[in-house]
Amino acid sequence: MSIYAKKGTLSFPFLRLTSKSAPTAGFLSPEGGAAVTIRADGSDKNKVLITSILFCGLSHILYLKQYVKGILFALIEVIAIINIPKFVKALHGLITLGSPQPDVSIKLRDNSIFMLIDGVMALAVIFVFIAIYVISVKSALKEYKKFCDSKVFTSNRHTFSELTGKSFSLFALAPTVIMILFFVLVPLVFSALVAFTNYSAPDHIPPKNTVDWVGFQNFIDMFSGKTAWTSAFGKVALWTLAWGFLATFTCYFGGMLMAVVLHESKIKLKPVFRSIFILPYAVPSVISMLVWRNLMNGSFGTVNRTLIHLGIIKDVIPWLSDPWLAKFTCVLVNLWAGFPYFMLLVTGSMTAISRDIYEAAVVDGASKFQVFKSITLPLVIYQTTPLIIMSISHNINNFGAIFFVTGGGPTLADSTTTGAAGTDLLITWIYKLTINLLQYHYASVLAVLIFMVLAPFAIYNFRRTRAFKEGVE
Amino acid sequence: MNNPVVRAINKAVVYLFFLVAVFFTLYPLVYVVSAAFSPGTGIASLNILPFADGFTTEHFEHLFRNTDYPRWFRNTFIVALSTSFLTTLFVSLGAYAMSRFRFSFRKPLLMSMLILQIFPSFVGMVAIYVILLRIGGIDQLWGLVLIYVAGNLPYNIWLVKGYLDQVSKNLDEAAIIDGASNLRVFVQIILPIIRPILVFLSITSFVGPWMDFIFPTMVLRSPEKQTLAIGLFNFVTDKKNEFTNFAAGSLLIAIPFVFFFIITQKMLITSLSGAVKE
Amino acid sequence: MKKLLTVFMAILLTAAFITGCGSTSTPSAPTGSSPGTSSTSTQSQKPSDSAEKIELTVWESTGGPDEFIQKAGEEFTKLHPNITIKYVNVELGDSSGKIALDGPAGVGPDVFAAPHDKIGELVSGGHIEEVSNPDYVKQNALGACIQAVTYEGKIVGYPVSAETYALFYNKALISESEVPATWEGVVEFAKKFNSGDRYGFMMDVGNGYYTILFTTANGNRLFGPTGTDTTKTYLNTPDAVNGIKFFQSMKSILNVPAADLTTSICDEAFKAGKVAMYITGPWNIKPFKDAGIDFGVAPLPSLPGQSEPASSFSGTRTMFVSAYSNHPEEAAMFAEFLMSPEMQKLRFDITEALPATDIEVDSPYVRAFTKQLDYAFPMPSIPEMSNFWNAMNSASANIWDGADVQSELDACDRAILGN
Repeated sequence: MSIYAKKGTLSFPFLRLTSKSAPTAGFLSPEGGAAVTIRADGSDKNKVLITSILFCGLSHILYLKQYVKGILFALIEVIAIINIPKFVKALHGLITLGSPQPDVSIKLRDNSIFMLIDGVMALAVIFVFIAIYVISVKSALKEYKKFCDSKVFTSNRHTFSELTGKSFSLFALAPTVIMILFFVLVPLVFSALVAFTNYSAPDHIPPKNTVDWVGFQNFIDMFSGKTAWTSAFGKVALWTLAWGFLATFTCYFGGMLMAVVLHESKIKLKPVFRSIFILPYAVPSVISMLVWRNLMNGSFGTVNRTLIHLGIIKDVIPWLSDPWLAKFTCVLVNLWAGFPYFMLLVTGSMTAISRDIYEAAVVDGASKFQVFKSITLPLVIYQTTPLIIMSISHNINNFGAIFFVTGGGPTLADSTTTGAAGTDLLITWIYKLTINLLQYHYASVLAVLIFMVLAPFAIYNFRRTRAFKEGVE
Repeated sequence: MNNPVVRAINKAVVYLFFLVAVFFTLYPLVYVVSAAFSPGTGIASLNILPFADGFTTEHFEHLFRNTDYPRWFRNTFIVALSTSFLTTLFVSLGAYAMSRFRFSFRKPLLMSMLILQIFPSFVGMVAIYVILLRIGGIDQLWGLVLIYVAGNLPYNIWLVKGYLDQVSKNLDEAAIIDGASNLRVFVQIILPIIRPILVFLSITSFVGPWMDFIFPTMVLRSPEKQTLAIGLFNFVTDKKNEFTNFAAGSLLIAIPFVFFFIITQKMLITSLSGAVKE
Repeated sequence: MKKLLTVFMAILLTAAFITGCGSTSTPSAPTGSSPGTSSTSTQSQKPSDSAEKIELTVWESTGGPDEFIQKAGEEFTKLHPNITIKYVNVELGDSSGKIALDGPAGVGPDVFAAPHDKIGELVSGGHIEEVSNPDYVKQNALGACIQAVTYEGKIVGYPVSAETYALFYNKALISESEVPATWEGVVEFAKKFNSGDRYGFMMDVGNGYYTILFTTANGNRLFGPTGTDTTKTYLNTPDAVNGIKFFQSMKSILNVPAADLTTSICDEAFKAGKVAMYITGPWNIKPFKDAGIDFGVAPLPSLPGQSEPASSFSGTRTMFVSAYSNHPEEAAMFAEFLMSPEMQKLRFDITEALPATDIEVDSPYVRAFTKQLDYAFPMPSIPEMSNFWNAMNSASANIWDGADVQSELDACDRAILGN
């Protein structure tokens, strides 16, 4: 069936691709005005390949009669070309980070940090452009193959149905990829790059001063010369990891305990209890943290005052002033806030387990405890493993759970030198460095290191679960 | 285990356990409520017995009369609603693409979306600031929404994709054979099936922006655009210690949330069960 | 081929058209706010013209200053009908951080308020410049305030209010005549007074803002007599160490760990009527009044061996003209206006903050603060100052909890100087 027999027109300002019955606009005629013919036996593959690499969309226009697609691709390339000076400027700025210009008014000076960010953004835009280019080449090759197989060109009308058809995945993912690229990846790359500069107070704050590349100097500074930093880093990192696991597992098993008891017990008013237990999750965590902070205050907090009043203790318990108790308090408060989520999760997971297994076990004479231990527990843990991993990495960066409860914790002997206190996580330590001391470069070094430690761990674990999942799929 | 005495003891133990758990759960919340209704400004001076200092609604009156609380509430509501809608839209599209199609960068894309989230980034906020500046999003609510949506995408696409992977592909394939476009399959078949997880997603992405303080302070400037977090946190800065006002403001946010969570808990549970089903 | 060329031309034209419209989305050098964003700073390429409408953006805190700025703005517009003032809420402590980004981005203010100790940071970042009319400041401001806003010999800001902290006392628990003039006297009183949850004396012990007063015997000052010695903090000199040792000994009458004595806890304790004497500043006047406490204010007690009140930090709230402003002349006019006698009086009426100029104001508390101001010294404003807070806070807390004074202060000194 010839495409030329299809009715209907696609109108463009200067282009009309129509059926035989309508007059052509005169620029192009479907019967091979601008289009050059190619052979359908696969031998012209190189022609298609080269032209599509030469200029985005060229082969679509020239050979494949895909005018709509071709023009769109070409448009993109032209826009990119027009903006080349901007790209060059941005990339140049990325490399040099500007030069000090003491004679120029402050408003017009090179701003090193803006240049750095603009440079990374330019890289991102270039990346998108290259991606589109690659897509266009692939599309051309695919079209050619289709042409070889079917001996006709896909009509331009079909281009639009492709939008909802084969290329749907592309368009469905495009906004996501773009947003993640610019709002997650670019800041991340920027932050990592800052670790290799000297962006810090007092001498390197733009726009009065420039920021310069210093290579690995910051890493060296932080870890070899200054022993106080190194020991603080070790301690804080250790606590951060310990906290990640502690916080996750207490919440997980606490939630599981609640879920199991609620599920198995025969008490009445279960929905009421469950509603109560959801409350910590529903109330904004910030306010809960601040309230806990006041409640647990050793000398004036309600907890101690109540305990003393009831005669249970004589002296105040230093919930927030003793480093170890402070850590315990953080875990406790986090448990309070986090168990509802896991309670819901485990309940959901348990209800998903098929009843058959349980019946079979009961028939075999297993006790309730054995059923739980050998069936429920393994299944639930297996099902929720990915979420546990996510939770560990979330807790490692859980700024609020520590900061609002203890502010980083009671001071330690070396806090004056390092800035890190008793319950500081790496992330709260970074926060203090950036906001209070304006040592952005050191803060970035820490961030890079955290990432380098966590990423392999997460990748490894995800691979295991996903591989499993892929197998079952 | 069939001894009635043992059973009675068991029941008592369970009840006791629940009592302790309920007490532990409600303890701080009672103080929040009491702080919102007690006279005075701070929490440290409050009696160890909640509500023992008297009952007043002056903080609520103050919020509505002397501060821009209604406007903060409205702005935050707009941001939260937009975030929720856009997150759900893009996540469902993205998850569908990831789950049902095979293309070359699929696995690395999936992996990188998760890994990227781990990077702790305060310094990176400067970059976000500049990006928003370049597109004119500073001091705009939509700039804030953009940041939140972008932040929600990675983890949630993964979550919904996992859910979708469990749904049999037969329905899709049948529809495609019948001539439906992918878009149609998405709208008419997939979306209804994943409705539970989408509900969960829209709820969690709606809840997120309410008390976030860091991004609004970075992005917003004009008084007309302030959100709740900024307004409420101003009550508890170093020099001002109006915790009771803060409690009252937070309570007004918490109450609808609490109701909502309680009402939808059954649905949340079933949707979560689907998400982790193997 | 000709037809191909025509197609190509058409594409080119369309592309140019699209690029022209979409230029805001491609990376570009800062050109100021792009069309469509809110008008936080107006664009004007022409030199200031009295007939042209100008809007100045002013950053200030809430809780009093906001009302003041809005009223002052109305008064200013009466004098200069073409200039309106727009108030934007950026807290005093946040402005120096925000200007670093907002300024170069082109969305910054024309005038902003910041504490004077941020001057070093602001100057080294390039966010402020020397004021256009330094004589105005020199003729109108109090001596201590002039010193506070001078950096490397140049005046860089407009002081609008001075503040320091002093000794607040609860008249129901201690009468005016009983208030001790020495720190030893404070300890004496507290020993007799302390019982249960009532304290004779309380202070925020983990806060270098207050604990600095114990280092000021014999004229010992942070960063030296002029506050500009960048090689030595003077925190570990014998005078300072002795004073801090006394501070440490005060734990006997205030036996609470440092982590539990947060500012808000102390404020609350005084408001609840549990504390006889407390060190705090004018920002608490209204909250204490509202809490129903009948209180008085006295100058700080003197350190052992000294006859004058201990020296506290004085902070001068300063209005700065942003270096990024598009209307620096009008901004300077407004900042000067805020220093005029009428505006200073208005500010005092609204916020009870002490004026930075020599005008007559009176209130039960002003006299004590003014007296303390005579003994106070301005917070140093050199860039090293930003390292002071974390280090001193931590050292104070550790010392309070029993650490060795000399070694803690030595560590503090090293941390501040970046060794």
